[in-house]
Formats: sequence, C-alpha cells, structure tokens
Amino acid sequence: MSLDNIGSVGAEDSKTTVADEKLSDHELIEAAKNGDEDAFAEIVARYRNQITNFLYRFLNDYEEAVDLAQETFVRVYFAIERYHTQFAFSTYIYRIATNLAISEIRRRKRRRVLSLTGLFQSGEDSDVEFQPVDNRSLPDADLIEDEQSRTIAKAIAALPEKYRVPIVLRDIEGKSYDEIAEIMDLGLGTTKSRISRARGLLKEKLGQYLKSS
Amino acid sequence: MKDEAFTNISHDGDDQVRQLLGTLPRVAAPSDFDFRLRSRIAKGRPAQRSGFRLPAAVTYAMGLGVVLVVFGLIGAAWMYSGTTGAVPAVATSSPVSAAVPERVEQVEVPVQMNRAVQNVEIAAKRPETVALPKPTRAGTAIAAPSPENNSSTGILPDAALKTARSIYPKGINPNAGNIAPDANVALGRPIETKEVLSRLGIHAAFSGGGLRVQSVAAGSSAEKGGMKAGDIIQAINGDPVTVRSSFTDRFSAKSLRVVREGQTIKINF
Repeated sequence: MSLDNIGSVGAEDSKTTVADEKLSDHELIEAAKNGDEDAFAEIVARYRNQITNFLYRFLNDYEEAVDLAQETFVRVYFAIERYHTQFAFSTYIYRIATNLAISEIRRRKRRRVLSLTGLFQSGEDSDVEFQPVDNRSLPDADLIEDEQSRTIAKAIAALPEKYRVPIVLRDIEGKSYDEIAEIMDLGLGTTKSRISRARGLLKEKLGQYLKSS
Repeated sequence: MKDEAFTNISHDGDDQVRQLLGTLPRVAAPSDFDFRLRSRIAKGRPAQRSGFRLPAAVTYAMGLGVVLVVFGLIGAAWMYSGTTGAVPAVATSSPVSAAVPERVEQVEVPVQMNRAVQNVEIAAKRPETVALPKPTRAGTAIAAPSPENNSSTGILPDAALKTARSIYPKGINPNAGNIAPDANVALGRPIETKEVLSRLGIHAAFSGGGLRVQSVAAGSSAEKGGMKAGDIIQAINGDPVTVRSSFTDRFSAKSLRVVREGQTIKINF
C-alpha cells in the first residue's frame, strides 16, 4: 500500500468526498487490507484529530500527544492484517492509543523516581504525575487556553490513570459507557464506578469553578 | 427521601463536572501530521518501546553500586596518596619494634645498644630524651626513664623504654644466663669469650692451660651454678675455648666444662 495519499486526503480534511463518508470504518479497513491507499488515508483523516485530542487531554502535553497519535496510526498500519471486525474500529484505535498513553505515563513515573523534583513535591501533590514544564510555543493558535482551561487540564492530569482514561473518554470524547468498557476491557459497572469516582475527585479540585457555574 | 436528595445533589455535581470538561477546547493534529506519519511509516515497523528491560530495582541497584565503587576508589586513592602528609600512627612505631627485638630487654647494656636506643630517639626527633643516664656506680641498677618524661612526648617507642628499664652494670645482671643477641650479634659481628663470660657474671683471664676464673659476681647465674674462682674453663656449651674463640651467632649459655682441683666437672645453667 502506497503512502502517498495519506497527506493528500488529510490536507483536504474538510473536503472529504460523499463516497468516503458513506463507507464505514470496517469497509475502509477491508479496502486498506486489499491495498486501497485512499482507504487508509481516510481512516487517518477521520481519527487523527480525535486521537490527538484524547491523548492531549490525557497527557497534558501536546507534542507527546501528537507523537503518540502518530505511533497509534503506525501500529494500526502495520497490524491491519490482524484486525478483526468483531470490534468497532474506534474501540480498536482508542485502545491502542490508551495503551500507548498508559505506557508513557508509567515511563514518566520511572523517570520521576530519579528526578530531584520528586523530593520537593508536597504531600498533596503526591498523586500528580511528573509533568515537566513545556516551554515550547504551541503550534496551533487554538491551543491558547485561558486560566480555567489550564486548571481543568491540570486537574485531569492529576488523576490516577485508571480514573483519567474513562473520564476523558466519557466527558471529553463523548464515548458511551459500553464503548469505554470495551476500550478499557472492563465491566460496565466498574467503568461507571470509575467515571463517578473521577468526577468526585475533579469536584474536589475544581470547586471554585463549580460554584460559579 | 434523603437518599433521593443525595442522589440529585450528586448527579448535579456530576453534571457540573461534565459541563466543565465540555468547555475545554478541542485540539487538532498539526498541519504536518500526515507528512510525519508518512515518514514514520516509510521507516518501517515501530520501535518496540516495551522491549526487554531490567527491573527498575535492579537498574537502580546497579547504578548505586557503580557510584559506591567509584567513590570507594577515589577514597582509597586519597588515603594512600603521598600528598596527604599525615603519617598513620602505626608507621612511627613499627620500624622501631622491628629494629629492637623483644629479647633485647634482657640484655646487659652494651655500648652498641645505647647507640641503638639513641638512634631510635633521634629518629623520633626528641633529642631531649636521647641521653640515657649512665651507671653511676657498680652494683646499682640504672633507673629507668620515667614514664612521665616520655608520656609528654608520646614518641619514645615502648621497646626502647623496656630496654632502658633492664639496664644493669656488668656482672650483676640476674638474667645474665639468658644471653640474648646484642647489637654485635644482630650485625653478625663476633663476640669475644670474655664478653660472653662477663654476661654470666664470670671474670676470667687466660693463664696456664686455660681460661682461669678470677672472680664470680655475687648473685649471678655463674655463682648459682657453682662457679668458683680458680676454676679453669675448658668449654662453653661443649665447644673448647681458646684465646681466639668468639661467638657470632645468637648465643645462649647452657653449660660450662671446667677443671677444678684436677677434676673435670660440668656446670649447667
């Protein structure tokens, strides 16, 4: 399968043809398996922003989110022959992205053990993941967020990963409970419980905005 | 009723959180996303991030071990380097104890031993403690150097002190029978027969057919062994004595063969 069409389709994200919109994810995957270059390009165009946004809200690091989003598509590309259509493709690609993000979080934890910054963290920040300051300018002007957005993002980033994944999928990506349960490979009850617990933790951290709203 | 109210409050809080999270702006992939993705796919399969890794504890233990080894080597190099200037305390005493054997304390003071003691003290850079008091009169033991004088210096070695305490004039050393090597022995020089006999408390001279005893020191080993003036010494430890006899090795007097009133007798110590 040639890669030349990935960019061209992505560049014309807003000009997706009606024929492409009619094709389901499974049909595009099947076409990609048969060597249809445009089909994989369409898959990338459909999910690149979703996956990037999900990873950004999970990691609170844009460059890392973009890197892992690309890694997600690379893995889909090289494992496309093994993909089975009994699962929704969105579930499949979100599960890959989630696993990559969790691996990244755990790698950050290992690095934090040796980091001197851990010595100066207060007790209340013990659950906060190691988030090195990213002084690079953001490439997209849309990423300039106000203080409230930054506070919310920090509160999400401070959640344990088992709560962070479902709350981001549910309240930011708008996934259903069933989809989230499949992505996380959990029971429905456990998924709901974790989402509820995540909201409770966020209420404690974001009380000032909840009262004013 | 209370539970229902609590549920409503709780759900209200959840809704507020959901609405708050919904206000977050969505981010889009960068414009070069597809270009970079194409480039990564062209490079081949993704790198295995989750390849073989040592457990974190092992990794940290190895790092800690390396740090300890490095600091250990640095510390050892610092301790044994010649630039420290500090000489360990054991270095000041060990050469002295090697030069002055323990048995020297039993030796009647020869001139060479005084020199040895002086050398020790000179080496210790304490000239005021070098001079040992000389015997003032025969039959009186020389007072040992007072520990107070030496404790102030803290330098005079114990071996030298022991040697000084056991100085006796010739002929009255009660331990004269336990002849120990003196400086000549240590240096391999010969010791004359008269010198050997004097340590036993015997004053003798060659006359007639042998070495005739002229006097025996009171309380000496020779007197205790039964030596008398007029005895003629023929052999020491079975070795015949002549004018030219000498003893060059570590020597210990065990027996003398003497002629007394025409009879040959053996005196053991």
